[in-house]
Amino acid sequence: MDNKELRFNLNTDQPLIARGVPSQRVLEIALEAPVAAQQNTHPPLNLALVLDRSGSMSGEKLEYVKRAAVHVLDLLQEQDRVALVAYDDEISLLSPSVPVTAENRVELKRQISRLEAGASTNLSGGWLAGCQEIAATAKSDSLNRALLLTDGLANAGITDLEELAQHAKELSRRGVSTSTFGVGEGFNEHLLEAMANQGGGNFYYIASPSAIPELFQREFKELAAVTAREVRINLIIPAHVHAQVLGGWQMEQKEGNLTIFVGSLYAAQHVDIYLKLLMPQSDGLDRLEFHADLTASDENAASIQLHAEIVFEYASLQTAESAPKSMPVLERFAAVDLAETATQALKLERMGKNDRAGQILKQSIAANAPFLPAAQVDLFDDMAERMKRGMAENDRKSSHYAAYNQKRGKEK
Amino acid sequence: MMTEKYLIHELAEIAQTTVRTIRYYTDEGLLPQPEIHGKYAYYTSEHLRRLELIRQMKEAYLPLREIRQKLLNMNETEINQWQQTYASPRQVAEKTDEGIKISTEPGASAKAYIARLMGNQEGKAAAPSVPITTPAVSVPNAAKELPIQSPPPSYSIVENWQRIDLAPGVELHVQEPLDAEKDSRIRQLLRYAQKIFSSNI
Repeated sequence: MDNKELRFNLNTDQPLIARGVPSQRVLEIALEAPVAAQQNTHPPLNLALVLDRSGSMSGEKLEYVKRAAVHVLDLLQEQDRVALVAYDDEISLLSPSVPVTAENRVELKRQISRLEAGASTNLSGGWLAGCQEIAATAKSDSLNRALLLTDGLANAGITDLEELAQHAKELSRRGVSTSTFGVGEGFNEHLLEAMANQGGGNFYYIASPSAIPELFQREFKELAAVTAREVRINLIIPAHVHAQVLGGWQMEQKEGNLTIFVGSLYAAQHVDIYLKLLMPQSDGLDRLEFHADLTASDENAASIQLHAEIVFEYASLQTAESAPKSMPVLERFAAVDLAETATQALKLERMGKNDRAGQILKQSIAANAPFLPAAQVDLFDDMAERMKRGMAENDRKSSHYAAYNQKRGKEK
Repeated sequence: MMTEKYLIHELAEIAQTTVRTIRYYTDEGLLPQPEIHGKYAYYTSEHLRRLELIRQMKEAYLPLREIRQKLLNMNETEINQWQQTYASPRQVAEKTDEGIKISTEPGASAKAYIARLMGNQEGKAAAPSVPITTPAVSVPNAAKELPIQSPPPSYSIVENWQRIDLAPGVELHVQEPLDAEKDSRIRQLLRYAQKIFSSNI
């Protein structure tokens, strides 16, 4: 069914809550982006390809990176712009941001072909240089994004995860988003995921370098299909309600106001964001109302403003507990909750806390199993066992990537 | 223009919002009541302007409560001033050394942010991470020692939390890395916890 407007709804597993004791509920923020108004055109893209050429990238890996970059250049058109940055411990601006005309495309490809592997990895330097180029040429209707590719650890420049994630967030608020591509086993998946989550972009794990071109293309396709931008949801949380947002979304909480920065949505994209709510006992109230406002820009940079609400009504404990729960909401929530715990467990496993990692994952599996298909339960059970034994590096990375995709509701 | 009148669905279409939203804002006092003529409610360009202003204030992260306050209390001049300083990401106010600068270039804000960052980077030496050297605290009844810190992992991870068992089913969560002062307080806390959980109530 063709959806010409952004859809925005709030759902829950059960709208009745107990008067006398705190109730735990799930809040689902369901978004669906509209289809594109015009086919065969895309918003002007303003990209920077930030490519790792540190020593470890030599040989086959670098060849695939070059191929991927060339591939993206072939997909871009004259109304798009691209900048090329290569980095090791030095930053090379292979090309400032230029329109992708036929002539420029030839020169850009020539620059790419000359890429050679070098020294250590100043990831932050390369990334910021790319963002700078984008910022210098941003237009009011361009979609601005840095595509950061690396195969190793940031070991020069800014290396702290929290700091880099913070900068990614600040830049995304100022109109420059970031997607990250991690190749092989040597990069820090938690760093790249954090930069992508806070940067309003996507994270990709590239196990085999031959997949690089395909994943660059996937990113391009998403960008080309964006129909809603700067999607922001402001949720007013009633007093004494405790809310926890799952999925790693960029957000801000000021008193009873929770703002979630969703970023860009492409045509017909579904995004579901889950909150765990702990509702207080009724203090003379009959109901708790949750109001949410969504703001975004559409394809023509016109502003979209939507409102949604959901009401929870107080009832006796027995009525609230025996009322039927929405299985579809709980099933979708369970998948995200489990993936979120898996990410935490993977961090613990990486730190050497294998038993603890396996334990928290098993607890989450047990809690969510009633709402998940058996295959999912088995998959994560097996993961928990592998955590207890200690995981191989490629297992850590592919498990992390699987959990990331499941948290964000992406298809693999 | 000032005498333009809109029905609610027309206003919704022009302002790129929904009838539901307009009714909600009216209920919340963010929009004035429409004029009723017979069975129709008419909205004016003033409503349109307000809707735009509300959008701008939301983009500046103001909660609805504050927006309502501002709309009630600010006059025309004050509203214009507010818009000059804070309105829309396209027209961003950046705090610079010369005071608040307003730029109309789309990428200006990001550019300013990166420039500041790179300026800071040049003057900054890498801050050394604080190594935790505290010895383990042992609980008499427990078979094992309580390690406060294992050697730092090879790279940093968001939210590095250490779980320390105080007793069966009771944990203390400590965010790493710890500075020396916090570390010493935590050791005090652990000694105290040890007393509580090993004493008879």
